[in-house]
Amino acid sequence: MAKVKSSEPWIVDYLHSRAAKQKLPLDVTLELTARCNFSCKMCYVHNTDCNRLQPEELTAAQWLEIAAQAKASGTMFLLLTGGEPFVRADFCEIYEALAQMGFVISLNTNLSLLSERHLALFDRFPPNRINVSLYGTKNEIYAALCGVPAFETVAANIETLQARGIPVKVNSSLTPQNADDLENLMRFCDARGLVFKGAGYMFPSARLGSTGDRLPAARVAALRAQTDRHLLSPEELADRTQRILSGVAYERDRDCPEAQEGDGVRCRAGSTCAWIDWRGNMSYCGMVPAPADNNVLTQGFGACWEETRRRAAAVRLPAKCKSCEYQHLCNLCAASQLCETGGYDAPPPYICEISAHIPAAYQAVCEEIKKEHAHEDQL
Amino acid sequence: MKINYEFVKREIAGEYFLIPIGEAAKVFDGIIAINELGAFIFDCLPECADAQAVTDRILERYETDRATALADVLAFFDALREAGIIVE
Repeated sequence: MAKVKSSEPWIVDYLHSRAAKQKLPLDVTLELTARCNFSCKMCYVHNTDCNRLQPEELTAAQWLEIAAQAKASGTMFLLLTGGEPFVRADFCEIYEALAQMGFVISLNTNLSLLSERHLALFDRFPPNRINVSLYGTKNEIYAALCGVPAFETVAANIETLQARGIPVKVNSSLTPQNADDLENLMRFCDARGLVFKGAGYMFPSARLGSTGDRLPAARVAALRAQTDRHLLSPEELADRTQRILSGVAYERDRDCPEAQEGDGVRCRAGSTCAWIDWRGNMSYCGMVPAPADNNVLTQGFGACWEETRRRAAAVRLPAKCKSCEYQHLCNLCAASQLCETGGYDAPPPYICEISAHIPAAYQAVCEEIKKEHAHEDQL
Repeated sequence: MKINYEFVKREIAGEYFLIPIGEAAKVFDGIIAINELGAFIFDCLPECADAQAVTDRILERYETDRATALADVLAFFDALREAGIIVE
């Protein structure tokens, strides 16, 4: 089956453009819980204390009150995430009420806990899309990375969703435990017509105060090139490599565009998007700690949105990046800058190192392709 | 005239949309953008028995003639039938 590339309907782009001008929170993420049945080494939300902290989670009624305020403020798109949203016993109650309010709803899940009850719910109120975190193509990889040998369950559940016509996108976080499985992950998605997005760069968890178990910078760069090799045609890859080597910017991830020249926030975070964590605190991005004094329950959605916009607008990336020879291919964003360094002054060494390895990584992939073609010609 | 009420009208950033929920979302994959008059007509539907009644409401609110208003209503009804919002 052909490789599937992600695309966003034009109306979404248009609405974000309109909403940005009118300062509306068009797209809001609700982090329904920090609890998860997995314990992934790179997770930025979940830790072993979360179950103890469950009483601090918002109730279904509180989430629905927040959603009502969001709707009145102009929110159209909701992303429900966690933790793992399905660990909430009242997930179906929350989801159904949100769907009936007229939101366009997407969902992030590890898909290991999908039940008949969830399926019946999605039959009645189909989600816009379900984003599945897929961590490998073997139970052993899941056991090593997530602590649960869940691959076969997740794979079967993906097929169940697809059989019911529910759009599924696969997101894969690449870590020392599963990076070697990248080709298999991409083949798994190709065979099922799934949109795939892999990421070798893992944010340090500023929310949990840990760096996690990350790949060496050179490996992150190599994985980016490997992913592009799979997703792009040989001609497209050659063109991209040429642009990288010659210092010409190219269009990449529309959700997380690369930063430039002492920029502010370049993505939609804090412009048309907000994130509300499991305690009800709002921030411009889920990767950064949400300020406790920006709580939607106590301050109200509108006031929190104004504060979120103000904080996002104040962000300025390091001036030193302005003269960097790798700025055209750097993945630095406001959130990664803050998570890596705790501030906005000095460039983050890990991301600088990744960027410095990217030209060689793409060159290496192009060389591999040439050798393979030469070998094929000889046969 | 039977209306499928599994469409929620939303005004977002000055634009109007009909968003399918429930069974309607399975039949209609997407969202429907409508203009201000479309939004007005959609709001009139629960209280209006037919196109003539909707036209009466338009004439109360907008400066136009009956023939033009009725033509617009009928054209909009066709679009609503195609989307499954008017089911008979």
